[in-house]
Amino acid sequence: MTNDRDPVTAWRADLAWYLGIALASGLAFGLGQGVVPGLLAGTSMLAFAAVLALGRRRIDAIRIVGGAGDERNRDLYMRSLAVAGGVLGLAVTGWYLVSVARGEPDGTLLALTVLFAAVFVGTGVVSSWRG
Amino acid sequence: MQNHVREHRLERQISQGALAEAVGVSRQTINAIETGRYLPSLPLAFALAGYFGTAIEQLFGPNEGDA
Repeated sequence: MTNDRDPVTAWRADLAWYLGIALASGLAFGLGQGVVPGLLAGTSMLAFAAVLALGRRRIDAIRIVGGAGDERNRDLYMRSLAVAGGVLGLAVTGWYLVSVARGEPDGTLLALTVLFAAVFVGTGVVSSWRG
Repeated sequence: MQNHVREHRLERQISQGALAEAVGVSRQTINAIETGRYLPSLPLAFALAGYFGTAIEQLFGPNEGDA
């Protein structure tokens, strides 16, 4: 009831997600920076995944960061995500405004600001519909 | 909200870990509920009430002055 994610399925899905991120990081750094930075990036992400996987059984904070656990863990995970997203949204928007003030508007920052605003408003509207 | 989860648990002489396992949450969540840092969902509140064989109102209720 309160643990509505099947632990085995959740673990496999999380593992696939972590491995995907590690592979993507390794490939990106490997292609752009060379073999050693690629290996370092991939290994770092794998180490982070290992900390999440091994620590979540005993450490509450790791369960929250990993998005695993019971209803309280997931509630705190969502709050953490909301805070991180809010800070990121403000930082990107502020950075874009600084680039405008300097007379060199940054198109990438504008795209990220628009994406943040669209996702935020869209999520709010959909959440309102779904109650 | 005030709650009487700790009183019911001590009455039964069970640990937070045992209660957590019985209702499918972590020990830290039971601790957070008992200390008033976390308000459980309705399903979890009913699971706790069911475990103790009591009405949900016997476990959770508004503080004095709450609407």
